[in-house]
Amino acid sequence: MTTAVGELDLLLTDHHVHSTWSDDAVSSPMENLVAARDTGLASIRMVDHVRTTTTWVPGFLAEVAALPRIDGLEVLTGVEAKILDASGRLDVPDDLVVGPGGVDRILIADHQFPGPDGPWSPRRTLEEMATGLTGQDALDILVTATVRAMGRVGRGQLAHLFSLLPKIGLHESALCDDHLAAIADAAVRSGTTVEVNEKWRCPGPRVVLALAAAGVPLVGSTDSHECSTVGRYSWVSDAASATRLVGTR
Amino acid sequence: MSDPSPTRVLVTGAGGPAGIAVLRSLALRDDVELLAADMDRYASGLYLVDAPARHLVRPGLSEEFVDHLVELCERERVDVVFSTVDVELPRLAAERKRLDAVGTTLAAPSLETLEVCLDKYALARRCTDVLPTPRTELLGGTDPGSWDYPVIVKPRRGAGSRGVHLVEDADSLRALGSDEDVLVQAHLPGDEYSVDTLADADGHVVAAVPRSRLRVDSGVSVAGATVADAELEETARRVAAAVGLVGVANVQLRRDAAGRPALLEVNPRFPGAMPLTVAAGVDMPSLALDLALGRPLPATVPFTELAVVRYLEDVFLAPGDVVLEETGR
Ligand SMILES: [Zn+2]
Ligand SMILES: [Zn+2]
Repeated sequence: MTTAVGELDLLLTDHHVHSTWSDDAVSSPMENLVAARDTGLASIRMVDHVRTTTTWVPGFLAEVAALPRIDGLEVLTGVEAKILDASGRLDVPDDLVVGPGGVDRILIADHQFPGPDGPWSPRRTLEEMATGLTGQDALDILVTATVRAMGRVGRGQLAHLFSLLPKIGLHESALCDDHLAAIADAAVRSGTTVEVNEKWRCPGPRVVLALAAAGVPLVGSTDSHECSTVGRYSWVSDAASATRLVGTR
Repeated sequence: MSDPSPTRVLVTGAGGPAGIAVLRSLALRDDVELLAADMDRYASGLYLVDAPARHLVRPGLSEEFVDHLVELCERERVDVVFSTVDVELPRLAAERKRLDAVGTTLAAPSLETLEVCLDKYALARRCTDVLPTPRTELLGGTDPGSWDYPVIVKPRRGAGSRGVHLVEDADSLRALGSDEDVLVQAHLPGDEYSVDTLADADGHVVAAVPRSRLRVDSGVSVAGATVADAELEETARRVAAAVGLVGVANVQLRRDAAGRPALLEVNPRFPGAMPLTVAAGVDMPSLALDLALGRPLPATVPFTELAVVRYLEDVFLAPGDVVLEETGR
């Protein structure tokens, strides 16, 4: 039995694939495209990392636009940026165009903890938690910043949601239902998709089910930076079939 | 609050023997998740880790190297980075704070230690009153008539045996000119040793493991043995104290005419022959990781006398699993 989530079985999507436009990645958009075709994906989103100073986005978009068309394979674009602070500000260039003529989505990433005064490293966050900030406070700040980022971005995608938690000594089980409802509500209102991420193995089944139940579109994500891993799922497919998001295969 | 997630460790220079030695050692720890980086897509050490953990980095001398590595460490949530590349080390050590700010600890000696070790003239001056050190002067500032020949001539900076040669007489030395970046050093007649040395956060030497190089091929030790010799160990301890070592360095010693070990140079990084030291009982990469994580180290770690011969090894892959040639731009 397959429960329809979004428009496509999430295992036929890989909406987080990096290319040589990301500094440390090793495969070109063309190689990723071929890998997506060979693994039988129906949809791939090519994504590279930006920060406020990034200037190459038009070149990246032009390269993806020039890729050959492949029947039955949708090619989308995105840029991945971290949430900078508790206000949900994102590390994107000021002149970034989202939508027609620009990138299709901004991937909202929890690379650092969005502190009130800017990004906190996991170590800094642990220090704050050792001197007064409770786990619930930290989750409130993170969830609120994520909700605000979705509001700012419009059409976004939550990249590896909650991948930060293990690094700050927390687990998704510490999230309360209100946290999940706030994320789900903001995602639905803003048209944000949420990825289930193979590389960081998150978010877990409880979060995924809550989001699916609220009607949030879920997509698969390998967070690949090498074409040999594009569209290859093991954790995600186990999690997806265990939560009956897709049929057992 | 404890951190139950595995420690993510990035090793750069994955194509070199030192990078591979560090990767191999840390791979044995079940609390570590390894990432490997190199500027060369055929660097063999990349293929010792899973595909998602292989990263390409800019050349250590390129302008963007540090920016890109800091960004990589942030995105990949790297807890500790080991650089096994000479040219990367001082640049990363100079920007240790930027790595700290994204939550990454650089497992390397301090910038001050690196600088004195990488400048062989500064090193000789630093050590000359503390332990036996061969007479060392700048080519441009020395009287060729004042030396006993042969002498050693070598670059002031740089690692390995590149540019090192013997000069037989004063006329030949004079003919070399007066380059300020070239050193003249008294030639010591005795046996040469490499001492892998690890000092804890207080500078206390936890282990000093002398190795003899029984055979060297293109600068790489292909046969060697650990040597229990209190005098060699003690000399390395004094070198470590003189340069303010915290972490791992490789101290090169050679016996002088009187048989005393004297200082040749210090390579402030993991040597390619590290597997012998690990096999002899001192797992320096693992201890250096504990040091970087702020964990206490044992006061001393003993080693056994052990010999090694080395050979090249093959890593077999499906052709599609080799990191592909960039065709995009
Ligand atoms: Zn990513
Ligand atoms: Zn990311």
